[in-house]
Amino acid sequence: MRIGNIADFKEAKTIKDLKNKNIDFLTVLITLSFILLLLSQAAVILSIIVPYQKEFGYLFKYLVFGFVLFHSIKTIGVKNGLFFIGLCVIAALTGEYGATSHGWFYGHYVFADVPYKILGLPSYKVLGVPLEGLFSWAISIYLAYCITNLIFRGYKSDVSRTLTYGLIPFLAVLDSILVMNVNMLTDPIAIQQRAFYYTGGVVGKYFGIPAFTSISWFLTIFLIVFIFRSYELRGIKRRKFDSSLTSQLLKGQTVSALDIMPLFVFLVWALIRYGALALVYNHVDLILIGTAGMVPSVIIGLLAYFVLKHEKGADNVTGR
Amino acid sequence: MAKAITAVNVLVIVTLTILTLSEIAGIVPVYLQHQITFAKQFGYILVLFVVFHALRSLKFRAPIFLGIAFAAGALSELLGTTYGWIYGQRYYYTASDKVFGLVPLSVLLTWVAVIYLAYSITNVIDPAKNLFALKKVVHVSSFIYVLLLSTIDGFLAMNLDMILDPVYVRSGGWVWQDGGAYFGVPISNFIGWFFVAFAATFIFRVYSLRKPFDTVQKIDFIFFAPVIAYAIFGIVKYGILSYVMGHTEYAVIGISVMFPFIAIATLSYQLRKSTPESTPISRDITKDINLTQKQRVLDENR
Repeated sequence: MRIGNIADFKEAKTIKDLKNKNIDFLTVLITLSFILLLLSQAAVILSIIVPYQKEFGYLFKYLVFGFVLFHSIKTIGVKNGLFFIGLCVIAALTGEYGATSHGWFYGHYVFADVPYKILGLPSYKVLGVPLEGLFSWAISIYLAYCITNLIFRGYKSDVSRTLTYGLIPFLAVLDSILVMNVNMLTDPIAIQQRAFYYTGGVVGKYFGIPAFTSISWFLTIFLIVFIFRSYELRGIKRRKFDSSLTSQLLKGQTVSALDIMPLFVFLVWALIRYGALALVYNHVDLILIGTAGMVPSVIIGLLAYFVLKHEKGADNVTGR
Repeated sequence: MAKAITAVNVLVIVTLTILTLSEIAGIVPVYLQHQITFAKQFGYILVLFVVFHALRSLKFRAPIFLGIAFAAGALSELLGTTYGWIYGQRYYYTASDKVFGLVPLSVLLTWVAVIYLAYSITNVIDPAKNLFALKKVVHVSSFIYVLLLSTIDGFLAMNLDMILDPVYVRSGGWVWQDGGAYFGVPISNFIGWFFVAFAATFIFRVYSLRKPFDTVQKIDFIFFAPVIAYAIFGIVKYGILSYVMGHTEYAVIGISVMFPFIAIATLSYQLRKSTPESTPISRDITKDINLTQKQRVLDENR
């Protein structure tokens, strides 16, 4: 798998040219969205100091969503990528709608109207749930899925022979705890911003959030990932997944920039962005919680990447 | 030698069992007599477990590791209580029995346990397998790798303190003179915890890099046992204490920051326990060991 060569891209004048030069559009889009989201995040942080950067900063969520969409299509296939993201969005909508309208599972809360517009457009709500909130769930869950896969491959690069239904709960638990750690930082900030609030005068013990909601969301995410991972494994067993492209797990020791990008996006998306906001709201304690929860998994992902890369190099040396 | 190893294995399992039982005794004080006294011995049982486990894993290097851990913990505590260094501000312990009138002995011993548990769990998590033992890697890469491993050690210790410190501050075990942003604990305290554990394990890991082990360790239940001890010590013990104190938020934070390590270590153990491959104690083992020795070690493990 190769990243598109920018020189080839500049020289190409037509779609046909691009195909001939073997430039992978999806990879270019992934790289482009990756760079843009880093830039937009820098703009958000700059907006604390320099005014008029906010509009660009608001695009951040959509750029991250674009990255996740392209990345999932590229690494797990169109059908599976859309299925996974669709599953996340639908499950999140069901959960959020249940909570906002009936107070099910997560306590009774309401989303406030977003006080800003994104490039002049209002923020849209579906059944009372902000669209960007649903995107956020898909982003967090997909990035956690990628990190878990990388860690898993670090232990067992011959995944196709190792992965069983019995292992799926272990992977799903790790996915869920990673997303839970994102929530541990993002939810208190959202409460500070009054993006949502609990009705009936409920003030939870964790920065205004009831402690049990973390467990409810953990279980919800576990269910989502468990369903997708079971579906994915079924495909692998039936050999429906193209081993070269459409399953991250089947790539074995072949690692590329695409495998490591989600680690950085995860950090920028959850920790740097909300960490900067926590600083604005004078909550250094939240930065500590976010760092302690997210950074170790990213470092372990880096170790796995490092090992896979060196194992491959060493295999070449020894000719194994 | 083989008999001595078997005896240490038995001691590790016995202390882990007693550790678990002492925690259960603390949870169900209604049904048993004297159980609170039993539960109070938890810290000492943990230290015993750590000593036996270190003897089994590190063999003759166990005293070196435990000595470095003790020195790092003791030095940081003495500097912290006397000058307010390392942890950002001065604090004091409310207990009456203190070493040099500053730090309780149990705290110094707990440091040894925390640093060793962090080191052992990182070894379980470490995905390198026999990479550094049996394949060529550039020296700089192995140094960076060791740096990352010690960073995980630092986080393991720091994350444990994120539940431990608020519980003890709330129950009056020690007092921060000026309080702090994290439930009355200064943020600098956690940075201090990170660096104390990081420094202690980094010294030992670099030492192991220069003088590699000549044996490799099997991935068996005993190799995984520190993960259970960490879960009991960090999540069960302090989670319950938080709940009893009416501060479930401490427990939620504790679970969320410690559970990823436990989940990843369990995944690693599940995936690798049944394979004939073995994990070296030090990643950079056997740079100087010849092929015959490596083959012998692998054959023994098979």
